[in-house]
Amino acid sequence: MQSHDEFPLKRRATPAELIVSTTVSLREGKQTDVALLDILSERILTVNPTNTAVADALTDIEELASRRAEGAENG
Amino acid sequence: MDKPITIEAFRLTGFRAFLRAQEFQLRRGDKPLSLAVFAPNAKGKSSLVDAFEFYFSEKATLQRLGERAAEGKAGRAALEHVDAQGKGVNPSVQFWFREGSERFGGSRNVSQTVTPLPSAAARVLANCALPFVIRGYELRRFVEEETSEHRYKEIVAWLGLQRLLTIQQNLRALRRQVKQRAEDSTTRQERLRDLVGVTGNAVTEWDEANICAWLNSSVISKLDKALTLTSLSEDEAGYQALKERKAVEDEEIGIASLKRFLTQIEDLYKQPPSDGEAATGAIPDFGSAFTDFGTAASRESVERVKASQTVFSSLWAAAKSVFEDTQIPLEACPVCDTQFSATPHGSRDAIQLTLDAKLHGLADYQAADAGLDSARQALSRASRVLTGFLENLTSSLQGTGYADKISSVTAYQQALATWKTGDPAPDSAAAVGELIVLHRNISEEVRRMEEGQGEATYAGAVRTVDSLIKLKRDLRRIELTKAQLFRLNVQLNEQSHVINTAFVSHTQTLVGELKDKVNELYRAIQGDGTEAPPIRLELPGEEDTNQQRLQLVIDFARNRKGVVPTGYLSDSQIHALALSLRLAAIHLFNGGVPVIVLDDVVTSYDADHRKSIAAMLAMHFSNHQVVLVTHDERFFMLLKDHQPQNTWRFRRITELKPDFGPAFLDYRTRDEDIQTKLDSGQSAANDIRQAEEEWLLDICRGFGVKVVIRPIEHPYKYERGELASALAAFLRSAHIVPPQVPGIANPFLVSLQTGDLENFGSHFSDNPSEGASSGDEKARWREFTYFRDQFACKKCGKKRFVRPDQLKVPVCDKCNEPFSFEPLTPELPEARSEAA
Repeated sequence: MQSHDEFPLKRRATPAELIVSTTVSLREGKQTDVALLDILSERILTVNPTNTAVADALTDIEELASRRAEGAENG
Repeated sequence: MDKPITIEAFRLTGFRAFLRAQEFQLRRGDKPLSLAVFAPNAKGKSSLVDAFEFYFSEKATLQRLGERAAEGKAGRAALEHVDAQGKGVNPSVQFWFREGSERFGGSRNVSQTVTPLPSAAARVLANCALPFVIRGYELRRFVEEETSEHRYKEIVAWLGLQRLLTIQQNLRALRRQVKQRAEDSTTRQERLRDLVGVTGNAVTEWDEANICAWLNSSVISKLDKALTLTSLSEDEAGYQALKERKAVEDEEIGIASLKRFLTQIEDLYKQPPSDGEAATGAIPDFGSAFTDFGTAASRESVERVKASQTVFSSLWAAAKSVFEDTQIPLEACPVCDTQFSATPHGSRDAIQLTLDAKLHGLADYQAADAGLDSARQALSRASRVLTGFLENLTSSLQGTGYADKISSVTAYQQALATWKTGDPAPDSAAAVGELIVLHRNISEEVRRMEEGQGEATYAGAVRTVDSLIKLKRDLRRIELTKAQLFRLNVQLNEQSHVINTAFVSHTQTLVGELKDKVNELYRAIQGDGTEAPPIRLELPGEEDTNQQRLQLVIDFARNRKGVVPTGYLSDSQIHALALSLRLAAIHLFNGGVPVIVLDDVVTSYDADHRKSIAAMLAMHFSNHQVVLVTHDERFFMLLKDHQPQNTWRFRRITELKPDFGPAFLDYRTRDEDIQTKLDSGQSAANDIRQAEEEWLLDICRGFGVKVVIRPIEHPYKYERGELASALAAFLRSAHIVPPQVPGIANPFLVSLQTGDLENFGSHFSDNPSEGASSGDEKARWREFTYFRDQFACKKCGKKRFVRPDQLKVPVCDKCNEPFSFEPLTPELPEARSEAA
């Protein structure tokens, strides 16, 4: 076996890096709903999601829909 | 993490077969060492692998032992050496690790209960994608037993993709729930139920025209038949008119308020429905309480006078008990000795009757006193109730047209406020008269109003219209929100698709790497140019709804592609596939901890495959620290041939000592062991061959001889004849002439001297069809050791040599003296002919 200094470690994209690159790629898309992506980024697209991540994201999405409905109603 | 973690040492104390502490150093200089341990069965070698499993186990036990003795498992009790407690040994396993220049480690005690995972173990595990302990007996599970879903989960863990898997699961759950919410009509149904409630089942579906029609006919027409609504809007003219009339109505006293006044009057005074019955209410109740109190006070006064004479009550009570006791003979007063016949009463019985009368009078007073207390409390209570009801009525009538109609009631209220118990009761007659008149007048007003608009009010009508306008607004908001949720659901699906595609692509890349490595290792194990069937690890296609699966299939034959391995591969091939999978995953994904622990992984293989596995480990895992135990001596020797001696330690357990544990011997075939076998008449052919090969390999390494590159199917294992030939060629090229060994030259030495390849089988006979005789073996051993001992430094006698690249002749490793043979003085102890 080689000494420690000689030992090569193969570099692969970590899950966190993959998540970031995917999010950046989505954000650059012209058709992307950025407000929705913000919710996903905060609640779902994270390496340490909370136990209530899905419920929280659902609440956020419903609030977003409600705000947009209010805007449509007033507009 | 920049540097990989390796094991520096580990120590077992009182653990499994190890009673006394034994430490295993796995480091030489700055290089980690690998360790191979050979032992026959039941000599304690698996305890070494058990130590690894235990130390890194979350539950502080071994999988095959379980946590407690139950269901055929021995539990943690079996972790401890059976004599550990008796010998005062505290069972534990210790490990030391190295990460770059940092050394860390810790101990884990063996206990009946779970002990916490050592922080050092946690640190190592944090850098591992998958377990590095591979046991031969559990290898096949992954290939044979796991479902494609389980296999996917396990490989996802190997690839370090659990977090991505969690994200995919969360996204799937979120998409499902958003879709449900977008399609959900519960909230709308609730609002429609409100509509049904407001309209009293008259309207069940939202239709604004119908609702306005119902409002006009059922609500507004009761107030004003000329007033109508055409739409549910706050700007609508009908609605504005309703609001204006409500404002006017608010200035008047409504039916509800009038009815409340009536109730409040009746709380104070309610006339009896017919003659002969008493009036009810707080005023009559107070009068009754006042009368009861007066009666009780009079009675108490009378009884109090009577009781005042009873100052001797105690004496009477004591005397009564004496007079009642017929056992006490009494003829005279026990106090003054006056004869009873001389008293005014004349006898004992007459005195006793008088005592009874006196004491009875005293009881009447006590009852009258209690009655007075009760009447006082009732009067106080009636006073409080009356005061409260008067306050309710006068407050309610304040500011109304009736306020100036209750002057006597107000005067009565003020009189009652200053009244206290014992005072004469305030006169209520005038107040009662006013209340009777007021009740009659208000009742008449209520009757008149009910004959007009009934219960309907403009306020009620506005409330109903307001609730329907709000309902309309809610339903509109629900529809708009639902439309937005639909749009968001579409976006969510699109974004999820992009995310899943990225994750699947990433996973596919890693699975592809794994597949390639598995095939590489599997082919290496199959060896000998055998056509190994291609192995495929396949994720589901994009159209497949279940993406959390991984198929493990092989292309067994031209017409059997993509079939499950278990139906086509042999037992050893299944084993080889499983071993390849685990080793490939460790190779690719455990870079942070390049450690492999192998427990008897070659049991299923024949000699050729064991050789291939030894070669495979040397070729593919030279950058890994391997700890290996085996009961297969041939595999142990093959491994020893293939692996560099400077980074491997080969140790052999010679026996299992009850009061110590496994006894180790750093393994080299020992001259003494061979001689003992030969002396006892046993065959030592294999040992001699092994000793010759060990020496050949050592001297070839020391002399730096060149060997022919082998064909691909035999990449590492050098045959003895090849080494001998290469050594002979080197000696010739260096002009070093080997000495002639006296006696009858055996094929090995001849081949060494001439460079010819030796046809060396499993015996030493010149005739390959015959077995070797004991004499042959002894002679050969003597000749070999004699010849071997000629390879010694002339100056210092040491037998280790090196040959730096720039030198043609090897030099002594200790004193740098160039190697050459001493003139031979043949003195073989015995002649071969004698042995024969």
